[in-house]
Amino acid sequence: MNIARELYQHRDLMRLLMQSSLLKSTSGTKLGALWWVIDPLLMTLVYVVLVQFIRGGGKLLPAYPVFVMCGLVAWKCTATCLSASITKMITSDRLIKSYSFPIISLPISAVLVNFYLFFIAIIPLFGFTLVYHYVLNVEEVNLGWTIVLLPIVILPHLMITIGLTLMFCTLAVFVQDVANMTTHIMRIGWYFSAGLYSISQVMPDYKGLWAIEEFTWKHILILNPMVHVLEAYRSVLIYVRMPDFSALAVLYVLGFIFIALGYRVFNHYQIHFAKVL
Amino acid sequence: MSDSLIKTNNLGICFRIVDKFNNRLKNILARKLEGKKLQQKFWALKNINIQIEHGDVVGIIGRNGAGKTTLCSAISGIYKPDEGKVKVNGHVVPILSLGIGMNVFMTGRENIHLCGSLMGFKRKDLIAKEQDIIDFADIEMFIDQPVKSYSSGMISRLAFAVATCSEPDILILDEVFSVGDVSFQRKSQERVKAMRQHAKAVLLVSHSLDTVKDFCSKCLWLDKGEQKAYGPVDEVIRLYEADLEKQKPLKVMTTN
Repeated sequence: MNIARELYQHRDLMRLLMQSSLLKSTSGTKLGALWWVIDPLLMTLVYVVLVQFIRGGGKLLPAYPVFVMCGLVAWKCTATCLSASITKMITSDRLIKSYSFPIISLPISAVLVNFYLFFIAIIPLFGFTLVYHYVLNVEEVNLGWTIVLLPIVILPHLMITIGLTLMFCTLAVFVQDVANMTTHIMRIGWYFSAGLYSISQVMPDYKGLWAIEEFTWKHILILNPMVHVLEAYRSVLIYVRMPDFSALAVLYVLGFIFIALGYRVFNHYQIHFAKVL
Repeated sequence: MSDSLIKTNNLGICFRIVDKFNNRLKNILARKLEGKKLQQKFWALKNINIQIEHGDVVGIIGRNGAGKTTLCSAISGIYKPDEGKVKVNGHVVPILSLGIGMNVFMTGRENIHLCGSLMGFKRKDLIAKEQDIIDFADIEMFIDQPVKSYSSGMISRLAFAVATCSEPDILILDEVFSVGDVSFQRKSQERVKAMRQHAKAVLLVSHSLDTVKDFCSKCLWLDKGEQKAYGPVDEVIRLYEADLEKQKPLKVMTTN
């Protein structure tokens, strides 16, 4: 793949850009890098409390905070990748006008930084899972051997995110309103990504992507690829379960399509960025 | 293969001026759907034909808005020509403004690598030249401090030192030649002279005709995007000065 070769060639620049944005995000704060852990914890707390209030007597999933946190950190990773890389493109106008460097390193470094933060956010998740299993005796969740499958879940997630990022960034350079739109798209996307509820709560008879007999309006949910990404993360990270491989296969195909499309679009329009920004 | 480092052929760069009330999306739609031309074009450069050989130091002069920076950007590969061609053989390092691309939270040493990578230098070259750069910029004491604490003079010196450290084939200096104190200016002038001897090319945008006279072998005079004259430095400057003289009385009359 061309994109892999191009990124490998400019790996030093990418590393420095990543270092640069990590430093920017923590400088000036008293807690510094600790925010990378505090952020997802506070977000989880907000949603758990919110759902407690509105559940109205309904039964919560076992170890609900762990369930929410797992989905939330994965979703937040994608959402922040998009918004951060768009911001990076728009605020780097002077940079793009001053040097001739591979512009693609800007959005990609923003994506990689957020995946790095995602890895860090997973660590407290492991801790909570263990607490729920051993201290609170919730049998359903545990930390198990399935975490070795994490890379095969991350890869399609990364590919889909990079593809989306490149497309949105190109669009946002020409139509800056896209930057404002993205925030709202992502907020709605979160509620339709089965992060606060599981697929089986919406569709009790759901057995897998290929086991659908009748397509009802409820099944629209499973057309969202992020639903399957979050399901797969929860399977391997907190349920010690095999991920749904049929869904994973679809994610890989989608990932390749997204990344190929995003790269083509970005490459085609990047020469105009300096003039438009 | 041609020997010239840079060769432009009828180079033209145009910008689209978007009407205030029409946003970009509307424009795109209108063009696609109706084939209507809502946009006005502004040619920042038109019909530029220059050829720059090894060892040339080319001064670019002209009034404000003549297209000097646009030409530098086009040669650096930042703008794609809308008309004609630019052919560049070699590694171009543009310094269009000093200190861009530096992260103020990173140390001077880290910024050497960040800026250097943006300019297209290899990592191993930067590591090898690191001490050279620090010595040249004369900021040994502060190199491991965040750039936030640097003065603008220090930032300028560092940026200049990085750009010239391993002698790119083509160096573009857009009004950033006279930075720092007298001794630093002398050092940077020597660098430019050395590059000339090593058969590299330097493009120098300057409003100071004396600087251009002192350093350049050739000169390009741009006016409103057009190439007025290109050739030996004395000749072009004489033409330019004659033109300035001609314009002066006119200007005085209009202000009265």
